[in-house]
Amino acid sequence: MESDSAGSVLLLWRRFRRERLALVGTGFIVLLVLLAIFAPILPLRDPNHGYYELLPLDGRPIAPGSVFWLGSDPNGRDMFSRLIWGARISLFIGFIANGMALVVGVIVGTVAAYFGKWVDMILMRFTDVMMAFPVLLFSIALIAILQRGGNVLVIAAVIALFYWTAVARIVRGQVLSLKEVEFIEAARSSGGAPRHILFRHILPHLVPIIIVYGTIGIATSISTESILSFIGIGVQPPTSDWGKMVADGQSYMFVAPWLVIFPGLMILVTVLAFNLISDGLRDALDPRHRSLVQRVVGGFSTGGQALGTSTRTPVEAESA
Amino acid sequence: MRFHVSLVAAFAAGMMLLAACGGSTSSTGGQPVSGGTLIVAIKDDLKTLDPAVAYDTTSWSVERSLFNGLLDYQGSTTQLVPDIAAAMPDITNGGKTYTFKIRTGVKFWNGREVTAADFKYSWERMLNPKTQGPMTGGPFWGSVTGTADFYSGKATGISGIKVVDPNTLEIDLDTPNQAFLNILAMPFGFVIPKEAVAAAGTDFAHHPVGTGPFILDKWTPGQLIVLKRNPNYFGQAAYLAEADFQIGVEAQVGVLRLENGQADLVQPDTTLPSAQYIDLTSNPTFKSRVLSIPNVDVNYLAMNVNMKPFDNVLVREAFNDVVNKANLVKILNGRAVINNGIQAPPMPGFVPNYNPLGLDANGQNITKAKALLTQAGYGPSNPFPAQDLVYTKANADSDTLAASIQQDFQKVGITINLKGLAFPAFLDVTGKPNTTALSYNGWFQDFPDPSDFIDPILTCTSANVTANGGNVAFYCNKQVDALADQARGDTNSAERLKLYQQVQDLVASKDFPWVPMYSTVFTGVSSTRTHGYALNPVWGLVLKTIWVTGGK
Repeated sequence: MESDSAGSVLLLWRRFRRERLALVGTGFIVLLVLLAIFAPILPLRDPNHGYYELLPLDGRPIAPGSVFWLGSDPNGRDMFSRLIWGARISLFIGFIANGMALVVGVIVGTVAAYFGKWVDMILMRFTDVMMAFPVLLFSIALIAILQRGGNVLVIAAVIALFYWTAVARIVRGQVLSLKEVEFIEAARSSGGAPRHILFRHILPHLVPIIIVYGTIGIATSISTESILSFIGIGVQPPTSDWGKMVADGQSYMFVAPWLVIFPGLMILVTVLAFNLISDGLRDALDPRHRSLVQRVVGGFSTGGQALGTSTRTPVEAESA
Repeated sequence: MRFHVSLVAAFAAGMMLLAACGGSTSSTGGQPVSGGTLIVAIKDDLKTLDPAVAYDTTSWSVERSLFNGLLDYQGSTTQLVPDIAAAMPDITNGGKTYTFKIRTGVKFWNGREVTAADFKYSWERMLNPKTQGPMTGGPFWGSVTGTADFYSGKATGISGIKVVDPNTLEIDLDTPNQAFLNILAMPFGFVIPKEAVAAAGTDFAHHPVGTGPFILDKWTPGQLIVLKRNPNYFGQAAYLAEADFQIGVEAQVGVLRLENGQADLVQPDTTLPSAQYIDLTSNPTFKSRVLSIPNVDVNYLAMNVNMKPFDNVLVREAFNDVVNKANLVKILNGRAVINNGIQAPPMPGFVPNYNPLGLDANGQNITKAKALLTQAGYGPSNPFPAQDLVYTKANADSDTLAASIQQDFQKVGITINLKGLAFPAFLDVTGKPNTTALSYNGWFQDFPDPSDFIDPILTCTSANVTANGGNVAFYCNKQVDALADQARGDTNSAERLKLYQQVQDLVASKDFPWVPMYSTVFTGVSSTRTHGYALNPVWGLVLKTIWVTGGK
């Protein structure tokens, strides 16, 4: 069977297209990402500049209106502009943290499952230990020790440090069942090097799992990052992201509710959108549509002859 | 004192200023009712209730109800009247000897009567280096005869404090000090019983015993402080049966509770944060319950004259031309006035419209600032190094204020990084020499005399400390010390005030250890069932005049 990755991606897309909610989510995220990327060239006010001259004499923040679309904060800064620039940070950290977590999780899970025995035991005990840590408390301590409160890469790394464990576990389970599949045993007995088997045969089977958990992971990373900023160990002033905006605005909740409502809504809707996308992808990869799964998985691995016709794929067993 | 809350100071003049401000100082209404429990919501726990050690407004406001000293301020004025003293002292020997008669029948909570010996004991303990109180070695008690030998350990007592007989106390000074009665009226002068200190071991701070109108009934650290009326108080008994201080309540939550009738006072020793002030003044029920009074305070940036780049006077002068003080006043809802000097508006000798550098209406002169920086050698090839602005987050509006200052310095190409700290950490790093270069400070009066704004924070003596200093710029100009020494004992008040104005000129138009910015107006609020609550010029809170109706 020839490789038809293009065809199966198209099929995946057609399936996904039928998930209405997921499309809405995707549309929102695409729009948000575009706004975030192009923020510097959009006609927005400087998000960190305070227009004190526009504030009234009693210092009351300006309500949403014609001058400031989403209002101003007590420093006279444009909330609309700050929300969009805040998206850059929140999304960036979300994607990076998630990416790091995925990479580490996949490596650890795959290696543990594939090599088994004491490698598995050591790696999994280590994973258990990391999972047992109270994430927020440790993030606070770590960032304080490293004294790099404002550095986005450090924040992303700290988030990733705790979230790779979930990925590792899932991946390990996947790889364990894959190991037993005949074609793998066939490849091994015919003398295939572990690395070859891992990359050629096993990793491609992990792609659906990675896609689904990756999308959820971004949501978790963004919401964790908001929490860290809210408690004050995220980015440093005058830079701001959504979590910090909620924290700064909370004492004004009854006087200037827009300071809290808009950033809070952004976090909520963004996390929701990623959740919807993830659900949609999972449904689109639904194993009940066996041929699709086979085609998708087969399409992702080159020379997928072994997947030929009737072999049940382990993906079904895992995600059923 | 260093503050994270404002103390209020108003003289008679201040009371008039009040009328101009349109606010009132006290909530009146009806006949006092005895009984009831007052609920006070505060944010941070007290560190100590040991009067020898506590030097912050929250502790002072509670101490005020637990202890007494020789003198006190009458009502809501700055007029000193006798408290445990039977009468105002005889001052003889050219202002160097104070003789007090002690009232009879004043009892500690444990029942024992107060004598002159108790005062000698309390003060020697307070000044003893072992107690590690802030007055030891400081300027206020420094002129009492025999303190030097006491500090160095050569003497076991202070010779200048004499017990003439059980009801007569004599204090001798080396040099006269016009503010000495005010110094005696500070909480450091409160009297405590020796046996209670012994009984408490090392923890008198949490198990104090005094003479006050209220007794400390319970203190659950981090949660609750309960004061109960003292039935054996020598003065007029308090109306309230009990006062509960609920700890850990943020201002926003406190105001919510107050509006719902679940709290009576919110952080009475701190001015209302901006958000809560806007909230309350927008609420028709509470708008009239917001009291205000001009503060005797100065808020300024301090530049450590011993640390680069602030060892260069040109740099310090340049910094004086950059801050937009009008914006800071705006952020404080207009509850402040721009101040370019080192004296507070209600203080005698205050020079109105003091503007030696000719700053514009915002308090700026950006062109001059840039010129000075160039003159100091900074430019594209030698950029000004980024500076950390250290401030305390204890004040809810401090982040907003600091952000405004950060933006101002961008105009002259200087990067400011904001470093907000909790109050104890802030006091620690700014009070240590060669540690902090640039800090955002407030000083409010310990007592209503101009010397309080110079002796502890701008003299060479105050710069010469290793920790907990008040002179955070570590500024030292012998001329200032000479003028301050001369003024301290000068009985001619007009002449005295002129000397203090000369000090102001040296500091604010020649040496520039500070960037003076503004003086504040203190605001406070009480619940609808609270009466007799008044903003006090010197103490954060006076419980004994308050009563509640429909009380629990």
